[in-house]
Amino acid sequence: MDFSQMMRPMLQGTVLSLEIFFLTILLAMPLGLFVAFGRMSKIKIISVPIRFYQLLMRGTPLILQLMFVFFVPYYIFGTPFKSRFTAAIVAFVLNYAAYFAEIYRGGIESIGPGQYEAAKVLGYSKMQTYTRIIIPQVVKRILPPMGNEFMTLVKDTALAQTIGVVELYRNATNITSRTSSITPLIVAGIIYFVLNFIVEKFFLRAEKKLDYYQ
Amino acid sequence: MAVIEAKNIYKKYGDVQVLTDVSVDVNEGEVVAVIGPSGSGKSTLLRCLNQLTQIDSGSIEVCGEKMVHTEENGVCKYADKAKLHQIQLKTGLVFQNFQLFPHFSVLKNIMDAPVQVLKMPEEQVREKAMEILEKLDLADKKDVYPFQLSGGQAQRVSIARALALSPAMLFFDEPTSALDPELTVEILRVMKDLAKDKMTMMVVTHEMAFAQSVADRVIFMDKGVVVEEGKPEKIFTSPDSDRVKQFLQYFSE
Repeated sequence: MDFSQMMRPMLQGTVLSLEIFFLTILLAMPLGLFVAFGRMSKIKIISVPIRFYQLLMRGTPLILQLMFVFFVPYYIFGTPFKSRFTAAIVAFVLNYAAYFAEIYRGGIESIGPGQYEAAKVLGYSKMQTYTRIIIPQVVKRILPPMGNEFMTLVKDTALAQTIGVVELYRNATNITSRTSSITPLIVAGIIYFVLNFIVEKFFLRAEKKLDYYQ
Repeated sequence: MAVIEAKNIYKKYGDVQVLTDVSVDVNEGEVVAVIGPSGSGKSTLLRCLNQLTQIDSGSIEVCGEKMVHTEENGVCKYADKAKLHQIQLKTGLVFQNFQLFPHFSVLKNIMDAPVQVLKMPEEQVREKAMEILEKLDLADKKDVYPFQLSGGQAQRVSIARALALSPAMLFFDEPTSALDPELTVEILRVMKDLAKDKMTMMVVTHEMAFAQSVADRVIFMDKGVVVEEGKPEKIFTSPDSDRVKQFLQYFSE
């Protein structure tokens, strides 16, 4: 098997890993915001279950969560998840939304009450206060921890292979076991690294862009 | 005409009675200084008049509009949301620690509320904002961000921000407490100018000299009650209450 023959499935796997990555980001970021507000709610029947959900997501291995999301529908409805890919996305989104929510919450709670009061006396509505005053400041503060999560997610996509999603890592191990060469694993490592290099660059840029105020 | 008319205000934080039967009024064009020791309830009073804190009982009217009143059966009732918003805009507040919006430039800090809240046309707001900045000697700072300002400049911007909504009166919550003496003078000068322009103001302050020279009326509070109220000449030279005498002693020493 020559190099280009090896690269074909590897790149296909990379595309699938990227799909998992972007879909998770796209869905977990807004969901996390709802979770964060739910967690901060003064109404106990909202905040307590959300806290429990977050604890469950953060307190158990993602690899187990993938298994559960994939297999549990079979025990409840008698039919398994039709698509392994969808099951993986559901698990990743549920897991990452819990983490994102904690980052959002930390950011939102780091804005002092004075900013809310200033907005209130100037007549801003609650919605305007969040969209114009609070959230823009939160974005700047949460960039470093969000960068962390994004980089972890790039690597975590490899876990999707445990429920049979043939992404980058699975492709690499498949070829390795077929050819007894560790080259595919090294290549996979390099691809993950390059992807995270890009993620890091992106976040540095974003931080720089928001450097104009303190 | 009374801009603020507050009667029999009671306010508790937990078990602590912070305001007990406080009644104050502020007339148009008047400068009222509220003085007293820390924890006397003067900042809380101001927050109640400004809707930042809800009162337990009593009544408050702003420009003749009922913000809150207490019925015969003791139930304290606030006006509806729309009315409260409308009343909110009648007064402005200047905070001790400025509370400028750090992600907005100076000009945007001033323009954003009139544009977003009052939906005024941007050009008109810009003109007015520049006029105010000019007056407060800040025109050259319009494009900088709050972190680049000195404390005195930041406080002037926050005064400008409040003025941009054309309020009927301004509240000041210890506006110079976060500033060094030199910058304090800078802010007091601005407030003096506002007083000259007949801006109605209620100022919670520890600056006795300011209270004495600028205020039309001084309110002395202690332990949540108004102990004495009157012309500054009277309060500062021959107060009736021993508590006021004792308090002022610290400042003359």
